[in-house]
Amino acid sequence: MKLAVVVQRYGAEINGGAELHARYIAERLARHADVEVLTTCARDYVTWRNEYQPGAESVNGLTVRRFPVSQPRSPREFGRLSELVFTRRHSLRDELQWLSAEGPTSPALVEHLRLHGHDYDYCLFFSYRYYHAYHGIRTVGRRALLVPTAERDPALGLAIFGPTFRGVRAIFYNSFEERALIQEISGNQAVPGVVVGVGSQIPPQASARRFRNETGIRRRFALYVGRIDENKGCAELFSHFQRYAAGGGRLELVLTGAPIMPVPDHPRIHSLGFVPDQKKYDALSAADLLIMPSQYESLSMVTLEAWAMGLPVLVNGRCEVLHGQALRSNAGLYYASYEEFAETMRLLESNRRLRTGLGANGRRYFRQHYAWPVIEQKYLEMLQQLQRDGEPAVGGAIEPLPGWFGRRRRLPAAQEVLARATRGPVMSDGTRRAAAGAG
Amino acid sequence: MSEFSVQSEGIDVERIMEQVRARIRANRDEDASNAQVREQADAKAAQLLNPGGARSSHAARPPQEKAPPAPSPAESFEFDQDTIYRSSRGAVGGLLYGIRKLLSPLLKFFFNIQPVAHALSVQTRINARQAAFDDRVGRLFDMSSSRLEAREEIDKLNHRVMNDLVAEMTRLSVEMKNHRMVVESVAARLDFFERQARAKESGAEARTRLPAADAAGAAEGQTDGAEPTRRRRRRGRRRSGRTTAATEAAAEATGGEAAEAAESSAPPEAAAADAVAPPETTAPDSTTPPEPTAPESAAKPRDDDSAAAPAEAAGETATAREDAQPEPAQPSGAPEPER
Repeated sequence: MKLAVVVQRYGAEINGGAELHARYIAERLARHADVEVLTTCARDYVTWRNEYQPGAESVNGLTVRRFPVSQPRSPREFGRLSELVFTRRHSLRDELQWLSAEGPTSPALVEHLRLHGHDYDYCLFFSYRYYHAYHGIRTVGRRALLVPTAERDPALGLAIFGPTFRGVRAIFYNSFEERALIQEISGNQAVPGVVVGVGSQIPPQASARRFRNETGIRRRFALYVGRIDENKGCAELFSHFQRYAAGGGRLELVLTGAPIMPVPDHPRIHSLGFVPDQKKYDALSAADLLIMPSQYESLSMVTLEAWAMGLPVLVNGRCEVLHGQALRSNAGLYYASYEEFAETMRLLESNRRLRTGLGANGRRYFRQHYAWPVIEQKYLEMLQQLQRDGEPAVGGAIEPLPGWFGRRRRLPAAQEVLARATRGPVMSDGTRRAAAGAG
Repeated sequence: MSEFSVQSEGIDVERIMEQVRARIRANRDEDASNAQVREQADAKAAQLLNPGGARSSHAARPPQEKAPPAPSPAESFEFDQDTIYRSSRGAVGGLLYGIRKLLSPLLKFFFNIQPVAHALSVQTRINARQAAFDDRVGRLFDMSSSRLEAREEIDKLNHRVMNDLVAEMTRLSVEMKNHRMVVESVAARLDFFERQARAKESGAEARTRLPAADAAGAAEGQTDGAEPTRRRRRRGRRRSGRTTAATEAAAEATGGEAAEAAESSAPPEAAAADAVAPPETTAPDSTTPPEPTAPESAAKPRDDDSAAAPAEAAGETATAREDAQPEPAQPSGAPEPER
């Protein structure tokens, strides 16, 4: 079987969530199939500037074909169009302009798929919202498989993506919440889908002592791993933590990740900046718990890594994916207000048995659902099922774009569409629970 | 956090979060009850401070506005009969005074100016006296109002202190009620523990009496064998291996009768162990020539000490068997046969 993994950026040094996810999956599937990666020459996800050389190269033993980006992103134009399509009534034409402005606009990649798409049995596209996925899926048609990496973000409410979700052969979701949300908005229940996610390789030699010796942090602490950014919920985390510390909380807060926003000058908040993987795992082994304050997560690999290492997590309950993960795994607590944050922190800091129990549940949950053999098996089973089923008799092609008038018809704002979608975590049996803070 | 009972193997995050939310609600209720205590205290303090409504209103009265400044005393000047003709305009005034004085007979022709001048002159004196009085009253008013302000400050302070005292008293009375309930609960538990302790003591006494009775029973058991059978079974469970070894040793040492007797007294698991024992440890046939017979005590039920000794002897016997197989071993607890 020959597979193409199509992703917006690719490289051993790229740590973005979806891109890392794509690399892990490509490298794992390469053990079972002939895998080729198709990507752009961009390295920076803000500008999409061409930084890699176009052409083929090998990354960790995989052939990677890079195609140039025709124009870098104009932040001003992209911002203007985002404001238009997300918050106001607009047309399909506006949405297509927004897609081109978002990038990475690489017609050469799409042309390659048009010319050579039939050489691959399947093309596995990552991240539904980018140019390469939208146009690539329309180009290869029923060979397209999709890993949407979608979250509750206004882009999901854009009308252009409905045919994408309905037109691919199969979808590999990251979570039950993501599947429920996409199915509700696009009505693609007929498309085969499986909730997979991604695994992680935990080094066996993580050392808490090494971390404490290197950093000099001797006291017990809660850990945050990731970009220190307001969009990741860090502002709220700082505010909550300072109140919690002033109220007698005993834990300290350690941050690892590049700071995009200022970190408060507080004696119990330690920002270590970007750290290599080994140090990250050392920190995870030394921490009492991991905090994941982001409200917009489609999976959160670091949460899974924490569980793999037997660490309990405290997540933002307003992120329904994390809320659902915590409920399904019984391995983490969640908060939707300061009171809940303080209470859960105090509970976790004072109850070792609870921490141990949650950690044990997390390790078990990771082993059952996110260990690499499980992930590989889910991908392979889906691919084998698609091969067995062959080309479906009905709905063989993706819906065509509307005509001149159709593209100019007024559409509701994407935020309105998204706001109508049901909220709340989804359990394994498909039942939905109340969203955090709703009751 | 002790109220969170967490079983590590049965963690239910939803239940824990319910507990967390319940705790938050309880904290809010506690805050609300504090506010209620405060309200009650305020009401009590109001009753204390305002029996007839006068003092409270006094305490709650906003600070008085400053009294308006006393009017300046009327300008005092000499009033005589010519005052009404004078002018303040310098040289022109002199001319005017001359003209008015010249025409004054004409004025007198119309009305009598004398009483008016007299009244005005008296009024001037009255004004001067009133001004002095007003000045004095003003000073007294300032003095008393400053005293009143100070008094009001003290009243406010008293009011606050009384309020706090009453609030603390109310809180203490609530806490005292709670403590009384806790004391009752502890007393009940103490009572229970005392009863439990007494029961255990009586049990312990019964147990201490039992060995004596057992000893007596054992002595009797040598004759009737009823009580020792029960004790043998209990001992057998604890020391089944030893008993089996003892049985085997006895079998080797004394022959089939002794072994059978010992096996009959051994617990079932010991018997089962015997059943799978190798043939060389089984009792010899009854037709075997008579070996030196073991004394009766080897086949009889033994007390703890006497049971342990043959068991140890059995170990020694096994060793001896390996070293010198033909030699029949002697249980150390058994008297040596006559040589």
